[in-house]
Amino acid sequence: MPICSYVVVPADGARGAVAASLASLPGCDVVPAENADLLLLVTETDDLDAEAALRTRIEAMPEVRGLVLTFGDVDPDTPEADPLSRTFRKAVSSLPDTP
Amino acid sequence: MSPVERRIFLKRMAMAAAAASASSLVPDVAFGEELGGYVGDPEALEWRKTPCRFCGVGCGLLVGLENGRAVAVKGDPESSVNRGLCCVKGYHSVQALYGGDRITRAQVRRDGRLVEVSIEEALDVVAERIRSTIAEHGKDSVAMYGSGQWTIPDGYVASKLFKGALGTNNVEANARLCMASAVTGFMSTFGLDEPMGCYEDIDHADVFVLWGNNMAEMHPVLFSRMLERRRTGQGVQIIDLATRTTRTSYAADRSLLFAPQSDLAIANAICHELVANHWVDESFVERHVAFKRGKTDIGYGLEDGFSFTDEATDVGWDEYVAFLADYTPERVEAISGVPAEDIRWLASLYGDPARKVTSFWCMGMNQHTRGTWINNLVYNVHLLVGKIAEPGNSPFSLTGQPSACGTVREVGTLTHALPHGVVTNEDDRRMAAEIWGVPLENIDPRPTYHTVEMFRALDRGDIRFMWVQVTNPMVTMPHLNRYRAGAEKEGRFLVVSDVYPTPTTDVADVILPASMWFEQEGLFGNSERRTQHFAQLVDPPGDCMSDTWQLIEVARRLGYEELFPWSYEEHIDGIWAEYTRFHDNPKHRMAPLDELKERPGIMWPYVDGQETKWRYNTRHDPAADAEYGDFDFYGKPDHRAWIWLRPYEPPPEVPDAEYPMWLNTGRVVEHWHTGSMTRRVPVLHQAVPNAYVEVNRLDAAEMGIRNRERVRLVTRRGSLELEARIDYRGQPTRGQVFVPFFDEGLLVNELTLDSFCPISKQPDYKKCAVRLERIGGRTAS
Repeated sequence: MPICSYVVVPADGARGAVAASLASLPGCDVVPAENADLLLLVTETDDLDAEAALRTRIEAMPEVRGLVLTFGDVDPDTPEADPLSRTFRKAVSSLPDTP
Repeated sequence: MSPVERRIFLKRMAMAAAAASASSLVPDVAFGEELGGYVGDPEALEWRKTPCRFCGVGCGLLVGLENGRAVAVKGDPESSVNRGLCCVKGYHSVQALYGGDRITRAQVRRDGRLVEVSIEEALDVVAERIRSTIAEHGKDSVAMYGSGQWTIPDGYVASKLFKGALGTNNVEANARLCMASAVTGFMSTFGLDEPMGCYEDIDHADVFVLWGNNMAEMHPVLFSRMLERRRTGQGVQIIDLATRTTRTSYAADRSLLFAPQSDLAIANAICHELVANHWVDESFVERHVAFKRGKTDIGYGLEDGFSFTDEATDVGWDEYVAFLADYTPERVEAISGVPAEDIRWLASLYGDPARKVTSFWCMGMNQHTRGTWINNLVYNVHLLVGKIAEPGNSPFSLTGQPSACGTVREVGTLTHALPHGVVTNEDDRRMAAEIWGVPLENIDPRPTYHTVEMFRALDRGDIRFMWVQVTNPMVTMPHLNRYRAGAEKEGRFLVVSDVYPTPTTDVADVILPASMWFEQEGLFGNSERRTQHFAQLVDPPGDCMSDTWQLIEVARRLGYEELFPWSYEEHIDGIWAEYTRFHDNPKHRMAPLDELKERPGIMWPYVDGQETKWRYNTRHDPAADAEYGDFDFYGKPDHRAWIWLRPYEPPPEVPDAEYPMWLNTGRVVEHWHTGSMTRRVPVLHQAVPNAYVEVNRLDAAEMGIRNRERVRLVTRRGSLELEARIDYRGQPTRGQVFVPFFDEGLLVNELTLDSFCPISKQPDYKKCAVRLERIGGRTAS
């Protein structure tokens, strides 16, 4: 289950609206800056695909000008299931290629 | 920590990382109580200094600690190196400590399988194997292979154990693969190693010439500093001189692409133009320079037991000018592909007395079968115009690893070296014997094996035991198939100290769990002679132990307690006090440990409380004698820097009908070396999850290769299938491909050639002949 964080850059004057939009998304915690057009976002999703989909959704928001990934952790139950471990990588690399 | 607590902890760490990044974008940004409620009070974090360990720049970091874990990182604004900035690796660096498959227990191979044992038992096995191997095969059958990521204490105790106690010069480090040509370049031109200038040169230079150096990816913080100099300075220019278009090229004012190996000819052509246009600083040359001719047609080291010793012959100015006659811009255009007018223009930048010029280089020049020569030749350029050893005028060899300078070069963890001087010099051996407290006869006056030859010796069986620390040779050795097969042969015993499983631990007989970075106390030394101390900030997991302490434990088991008498609490202080005796002179005096503990780093020579920013310059360097004028190149007996007559010679393997292209290898900004740590950092891994091959778009079109299609690379040593990338972050010239080497699943070094510079013994990873074959089909993504 990935946990990631981002710095979100809203369009001019849209900090509050973006904060509200992000806070309404499941698994999203938002902290807007007090004195700059920036927001901090922490996401918690079920898997990497869900994380990627969430990121795509946020990037598509018209009030969002930019999204910078600052942290990511997959937090596996076992090292073998950790996509960053060698065991996992070796298992994946032995699979046939996707056409 | 329960799973729920861990997830809360991770979310707080994630938010803290975002806040730190936001602070770097907007320094006075405020988030109020909402952030405090989420992550706790950032002020409550304990922020401690450490140098970054993910390249040779030596950025100062501040690590945020909470409940015994590193939870945040930011640039140290007090560090003169990076002034609060970090690169992508730096900002994510502390996550590399917490990968899921961290090695935390020792393992010993029994009946073909690695089984967990106590660290004490594993250390017993290592000591006993050293003892029995020496008894059976002699002292030169055991070897130590370390790294430019060794801390200074790591390298020091390794050298003392192997050279001083065991009496073998079988000590090498992976810096042989990255910095050896820089060392021999410095030694042959100046008689002393390491740059004369410092990063402050960036703030004074008007022109930057990058010789085969993709700084935008390999030294991004220095590159940013250079861009800032261009933004704020008048008419500042960056010239990218390279064999491949990179992110550096796009940011540069000019990008000049040259044929592989032809940098030798280009440097000589620049000198030709400096002479022809009377741009030479005659008074500087007359007073501070001597001319030397070395041997030519010197070979490539491809055969086992290859041996070469250079010899300097005095020559005069006229002979030098006659030598340069072969390097007219037109002739060099034919060799290099760089238009003659561009070579003339480049020479005019060096020749303009109103412009200060800094040249940067790293692996492009060092990983070169004539690596020493090209280092010499760039010094020639600077020496001819007297643009050296003063603010902004600087030939500057950058390093790739955090302590390639501090540990490998200054401690001398190479077969021929000692902490001061070389094993072949009796005075140097006598000094080492006295400081180490060993009989003079213990220190063998004969160097044994440099790195490539050491692995050849392992393959042949001349070496039977090898201990590898902080490096991953089963990914990094060129012509890897031979050396991996050698390591796996019957009767070889490999000990590997590391933090994660790697292809090297795969072939180990003993794996020792190592503590990483600030899980231990240590010191690094960066590219600009800056020594940087870091305290132990967090506890290592499981049985992990520092490499220094592993070596001390084994030394004690071998009966050398008296040589390694320090308690754990005081061993770094004790080692530093002993080690710095080797450098207690105005040319290399190092700062006291108490001062290093307080500051983000101090440059040596450190004399009377002052750093030396520009060596050899009598206004800045207390060791330079004004009797010799404004500059004193005191490394040489004649107090002169030597201009070498070094010709262009081709590489050993060039494209032909069977293998018609060049293969070039290197790094990417996201990954550190073999990726064993950075591939455990989610953001970095996801950015570049696998290796690929960059193909020129015209070559690809000609072969019908589409972007992201699978292709095969074939050399005389092996083949490899990868994904082709066209117009990706780098674009090779026609007839060239490029592959990053970070991916242990796609080992490009199974294809590379184990030729090396005969003087430095550093392999050339930048050029060999390869065939590109189309396979078809997209890779899985």
